Amino acid sequence: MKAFENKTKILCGKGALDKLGYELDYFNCKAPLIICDEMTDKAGYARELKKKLRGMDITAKFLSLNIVDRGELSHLEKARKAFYEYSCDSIISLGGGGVTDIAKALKLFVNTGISNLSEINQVQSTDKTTLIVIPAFLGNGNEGTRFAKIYNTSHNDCYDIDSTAIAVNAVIIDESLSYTVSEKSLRESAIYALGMALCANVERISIFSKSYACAALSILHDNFLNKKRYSKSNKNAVMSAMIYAGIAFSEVEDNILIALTREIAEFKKVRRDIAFVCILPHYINMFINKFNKVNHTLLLLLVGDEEFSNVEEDKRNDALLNTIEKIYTAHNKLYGCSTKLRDYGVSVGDIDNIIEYTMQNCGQSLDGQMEYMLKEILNRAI
Amino acid sequence: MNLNFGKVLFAKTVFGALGRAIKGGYKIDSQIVRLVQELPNDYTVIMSVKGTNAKLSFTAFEDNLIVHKLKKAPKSGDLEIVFKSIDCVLPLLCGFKGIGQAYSEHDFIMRGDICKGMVVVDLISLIEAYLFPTFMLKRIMLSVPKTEKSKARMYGYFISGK
Amino acid sequence: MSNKYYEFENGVRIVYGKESLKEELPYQLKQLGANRVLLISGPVLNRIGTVDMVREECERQGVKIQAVFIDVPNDSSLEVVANIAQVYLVNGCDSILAVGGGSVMDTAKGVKLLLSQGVSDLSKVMGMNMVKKGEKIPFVLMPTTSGTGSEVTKVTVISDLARNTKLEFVTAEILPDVCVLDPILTTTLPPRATLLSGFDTLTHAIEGYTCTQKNPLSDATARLAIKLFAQNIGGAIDNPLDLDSRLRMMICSALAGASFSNSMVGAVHAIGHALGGECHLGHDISMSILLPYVMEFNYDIAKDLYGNIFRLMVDDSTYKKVSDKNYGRACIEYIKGLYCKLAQQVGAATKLNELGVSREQLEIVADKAMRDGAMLTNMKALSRDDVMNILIKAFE
Repeated sequence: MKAFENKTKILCGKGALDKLGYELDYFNCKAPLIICDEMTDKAGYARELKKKLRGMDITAKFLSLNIVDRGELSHLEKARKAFYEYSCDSIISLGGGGVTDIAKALKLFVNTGISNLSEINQVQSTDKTTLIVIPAFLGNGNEGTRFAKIYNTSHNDCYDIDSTAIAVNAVIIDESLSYTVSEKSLRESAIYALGMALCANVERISIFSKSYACAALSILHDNFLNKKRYSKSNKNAVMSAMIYAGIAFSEVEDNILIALTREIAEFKKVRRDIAFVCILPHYINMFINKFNKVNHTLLLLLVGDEEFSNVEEDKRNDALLNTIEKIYTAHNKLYGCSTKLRDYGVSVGDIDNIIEYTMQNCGQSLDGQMEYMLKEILNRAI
Repeated sequence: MNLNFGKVLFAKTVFGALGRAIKGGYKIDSQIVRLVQELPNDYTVIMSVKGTNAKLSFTAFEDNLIVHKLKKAPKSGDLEIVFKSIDCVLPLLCGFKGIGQAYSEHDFIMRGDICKGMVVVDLISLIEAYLFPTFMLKRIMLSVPKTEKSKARMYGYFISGK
Repeated sequence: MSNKYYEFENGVRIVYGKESLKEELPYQLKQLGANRVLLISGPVLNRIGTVDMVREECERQGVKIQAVFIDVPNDSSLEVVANIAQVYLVNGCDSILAVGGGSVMDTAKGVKLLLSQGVSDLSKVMGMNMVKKGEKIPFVLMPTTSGTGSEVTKVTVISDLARNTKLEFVTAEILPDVCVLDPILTTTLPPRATLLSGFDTLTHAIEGYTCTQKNPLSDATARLAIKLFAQNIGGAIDNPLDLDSRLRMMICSALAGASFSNSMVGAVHAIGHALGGECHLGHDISMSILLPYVMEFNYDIAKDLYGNIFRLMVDDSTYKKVSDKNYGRACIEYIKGLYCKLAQQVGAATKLNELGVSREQLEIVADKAMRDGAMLTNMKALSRDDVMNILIKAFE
């Protein structure tokens, strides 16, 4: 038995923001709270949004938060106060991943009436408040998912929210909001999206989720791979690929790859997306025979129909690995984006500890073969 | 000057011109007459833009077509094509996008019989073929409809009303 | 002319697998807060026991079926929709469960729209994306065919018998909250219906993949659907009780539905709708017969895409045998050949003249087809003469 659900409506491309007023009207929303970060505000995007809503019989209130990288409890509290103070009826997030997480958590608060994230599991929730996400940077891949992460810096802690009640009603990905994206961050995010889409494709998730992963790979093939310069529409496309890959990846249950990534991120304080990107190709290499059935699909999506036809059937696994390696090599050469863990402070001496914590947290026992495989993966990644 | 005000003013002006062109087309092109006759008798079509008062409306009769002035435009119609925002309609009005592409890109919503909507889409395409230069039309349409009379004849109607 | 903007929406919770009727349907209804369910289905499904099977399973697990309507005809109409809405209100129902093929699901969608918008006349909300979000009414669909994809589409067509016309409604408001795909419900589908509904699905996928409104997500779902179709259509026809093939065909149908619902269709549907309206042909047989001829017409524009489709449908050895790398042409021939072979096996028509269509009717069909919205999104513009040529080729 499998299930798939993603209620997020995608609006993507040139002029997507022009449809915002209609979308709010569809959801019977008259008073949205628009949450943005200071960088988005300075880039003029909040002003752009105001113009789009002019004349629409919509009274939008703006809240600018000093979110740098991630959403904090203090930001959430400000957002909650503003929502009730201005008598808002819906939420729009405009900015990066941190803003999106705050908006999602706010939706949860408004839907349930709770004011403390520790009470999440004690209440039933329905999806009655509209949430529209407008990514202004490359985000974190969570824009279309039911997950959010809120940090509590004072306690060095974080809340992981997983609830269909914070499902995003619509994501608006407009070309005009991508001009501040640097090529370096574009490449980093594209590689991460590629990794998520590859991982989602090889794991046992619903075929409907795989369609999002396939779409992400296809978009990255057309707009990122083998390109040296990126137009606005390429950047826009990569933003969308990030979101689709995130949707597909959100269905992947904990596996060795995710567990390893998590341990490296927590143990060695490496950014999670970087750890993931470093490990992924070696993970695929190690388990390539297990993924045999999907390899052809992956290769087809990565190289395109014409090139795929030129590869002999029995050489497709190797072709896939070579293609992934080529992509990573190109990524390394440009802008010095390293995909080796040693460049992020992880050394060979850390391997045993990482493996031990990973297996403990997975609740699995370590047999000889698994230990060997994990050591190989980490050695190659370092 | 408020940019939005400028855009709305432009839209009203172009809608006015479109209305005049529809009236002119009805007089000079039998294809347009046939399209109008496909609509039921006393059938009102309104094209408007959400959040503004820019509007184009006309009523089709068996043997006549009345294009309404903005101030006397009916409040509701049998078929309503509503563009989602002023920025959604501008590319169409400037000739950067055809009505077919506007439909594909969800620029408008439609209240009423969608089949009749397709008649109006064909009508607008023909009018676009009269108004815009051929090189623009080739960019924005899959296939440029053939007009019975020349563009000059249509522009002549614009100037003289005959 | 390429689209720089697109939308994609598939807000349906899709639950699928063997035994999903028993293990998921009652659970999903409870999750939605359904306490008094109106069950909508058709007379054939009632006769063969499907309605009883669903009702018993729901009530066994504590979901009350408050009322049942089993008289949905083959062609849904405003009157039927109004009658069912009346049954809903009179019995104090709070949710809708529809079990059946395309017409049952379309009817149920009409009922949901009528009730959630609080109108008495459905024609008041006719159109494209013009309704707002209405009252929440839990709505679950269980398809018993694998063809229309109606369980995930934003379109429904209801006949207005008084004005002898079909009304089209395009809105996300008619999407169900949940659709449950249990292959057991399709095992009673005869081979002929399996073939025709399968080709209906294939047409949705191919048109979704090749129309002007195509986008990366609709492409991805269409490609997966085409692959599944090719791998399972034979099995589903030869072994009707093979639940694996049946399930994959249902998934194929839902994927193809999600694709075309977000990218529209093309000339096959435009002409097929007109054939249905004028000659009363079934939607699925029209699609099956017309598909290769419209593909031939679109060939010069869409040949690369057809080549991709061919890649998905055949194995490596067949692909390599194609001479001159003319994969687009090979695709059309493959689809034509596949349909003819399977149609002969199950006794389905391959030409329109076998179905009682007259030559004179083709003229009227061509006129009607030109007015169909789907014409606008076909990859290549068609004139009336082009439509006639296609119809003549499909006729004899």
